[in-house]
Amino acid sequence: MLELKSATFRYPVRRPRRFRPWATIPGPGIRDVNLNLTSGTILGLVGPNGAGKSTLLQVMSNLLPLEDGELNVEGASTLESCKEIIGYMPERVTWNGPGTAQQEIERLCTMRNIDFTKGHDLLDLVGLGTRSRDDLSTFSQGMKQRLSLATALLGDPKILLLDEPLNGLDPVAQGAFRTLLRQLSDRGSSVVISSHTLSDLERIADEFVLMHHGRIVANGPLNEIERDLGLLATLEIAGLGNPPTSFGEGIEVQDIPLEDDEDWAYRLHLEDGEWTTQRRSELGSEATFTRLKQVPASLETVISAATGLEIEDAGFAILSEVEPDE
Amino acid sequence: MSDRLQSIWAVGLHDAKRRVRSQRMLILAPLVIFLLCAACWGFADSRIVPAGLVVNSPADVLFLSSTSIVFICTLSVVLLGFDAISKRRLTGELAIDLTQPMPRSDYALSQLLGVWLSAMLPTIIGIFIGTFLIQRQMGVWPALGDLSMFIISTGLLLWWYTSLQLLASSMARDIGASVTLGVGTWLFFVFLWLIPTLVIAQSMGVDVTDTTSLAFDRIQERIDLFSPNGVYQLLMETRLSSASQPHLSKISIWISAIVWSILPTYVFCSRIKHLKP
Repeated sequence: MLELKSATFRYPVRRPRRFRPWATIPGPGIRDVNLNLTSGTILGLVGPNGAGKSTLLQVMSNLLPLEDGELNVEGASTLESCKEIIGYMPERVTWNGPGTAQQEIERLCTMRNIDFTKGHDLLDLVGLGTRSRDDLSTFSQGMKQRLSLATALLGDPKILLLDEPLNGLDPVAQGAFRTLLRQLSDRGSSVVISSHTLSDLERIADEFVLMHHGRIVANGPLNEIERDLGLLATLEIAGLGNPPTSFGEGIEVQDIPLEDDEDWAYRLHLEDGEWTTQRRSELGSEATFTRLKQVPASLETVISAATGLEIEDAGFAILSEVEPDE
Repeated sequence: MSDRLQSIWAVGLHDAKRRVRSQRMLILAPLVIFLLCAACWGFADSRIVPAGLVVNSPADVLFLSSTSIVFICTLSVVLLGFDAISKRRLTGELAIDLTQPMPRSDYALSQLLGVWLSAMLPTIIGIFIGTFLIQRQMGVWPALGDLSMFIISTGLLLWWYTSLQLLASSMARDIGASVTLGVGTWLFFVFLWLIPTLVIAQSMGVDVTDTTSLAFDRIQERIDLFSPNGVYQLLMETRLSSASQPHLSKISIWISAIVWSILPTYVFCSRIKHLKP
């Protein structure tokens, strides 16, 4: 549905010289990104701040031009037809008026050449129907996010690009948002949704793309990424009565805090391999387990595993991203 | 083509309506209307016209009233349009606008149209009320040709300032810089234009101590072709009596007006085409 081939875009960073005060050098951005978005997929775009998630979304939405590489959108031959297929929600639009949500949506309906009633319906859909005539300056951040989402849904786009859409949404709205995305995906729309928190997207996305330093460091379903990176090696177990006396060789055992009515709890880390169903069943048939779950990998862990950087360095390495003259 | 024009008009009209309802319009509109009416009323009364000014006809009154257009209406364009692009860019709304399936050049034209229409509304109201006041003071209506020229020239002048202001707004990284660029441009053309005129005239060997001399008048007219206010004044002078007509040919004045209408607009559209929100 949407394909990026060796896509590169880098923001120019000013480096004035004595005789060339306007000189710039290539700064942060995205480099050599290959991505294939299939129909009906919800793709989670994850990475630390400055990884290039927003830039990638802006490139996909045709806001930023590619310096190198290709962007192909199925069924779109011109830039305008491409934009008709794509709905884009930027990160934190501050919508501070003057004007109302209704006026804003009607303005965008005019730009898309679609009927105002469709815009009004979308305001109802995102829960702003009763506040549509209120001044935007009275809106909370969550309401502004809803309005941004409504604008992205205008024209029934086949591809939806959402930049940090969960920021500012309350848990109820987040639930409704997840349901809406699933409905859109079931109808064949493709969704790309970015977040700097992996756990935010675990319940929404079918596949993930992990970004760091403007490059894709891993992609695919989360369990496949974790398996490839060797992150399925940690298991938390807890239970009642006597704990298992032995866990076998090659397993590192660590005590962890007990939860309600638990007599024991451990974190088990395999030195090699992953916790397959067979390995789990070998943990001890006499013990009564109340908890037996894979430990979800944090974003830092995944990035660290994918890049080979220390966890402490993985988050802050972006600061040294600007490269010398190329 | 007509679909594109309709779309530009619809978005421009939408933006204009929002600006007309804005708080700053509540302040600016009465000022613009009041000043235009006061100018028409005052210049049409021979008893209170400042010494040295000759007012023989409604065309003369319209010409003299055009000074208030140069001062207040151009400033109102600056104040209405300084945040047209820069604010939307800062809030993220521009990114949403630019992802809509509307060509960026059309979007740029709709933004120009929105600011221009909102600035034109109080100006047109002021001009029409002023016309009635001229008739009341002098007992004659301004000729249709004179009035049409006054409105067309004023519309062009406001379009030129709109394109300059929106260009400034699109170049500025913050709203403060946008205001500074806009007001700076306005100050340069309204108050400081005489300085480059004098410098150029002096360098060409014209005596600048006598600004009423024919030689200075001729060189000033030529230099004025490079200023929006100058071209506006020259356009207005073409409707005056033969003694007050500009020395330049009408064609050169109109060519300058066309260049002023196209060039900043083209630069602004080009800027929006390549803008990274």
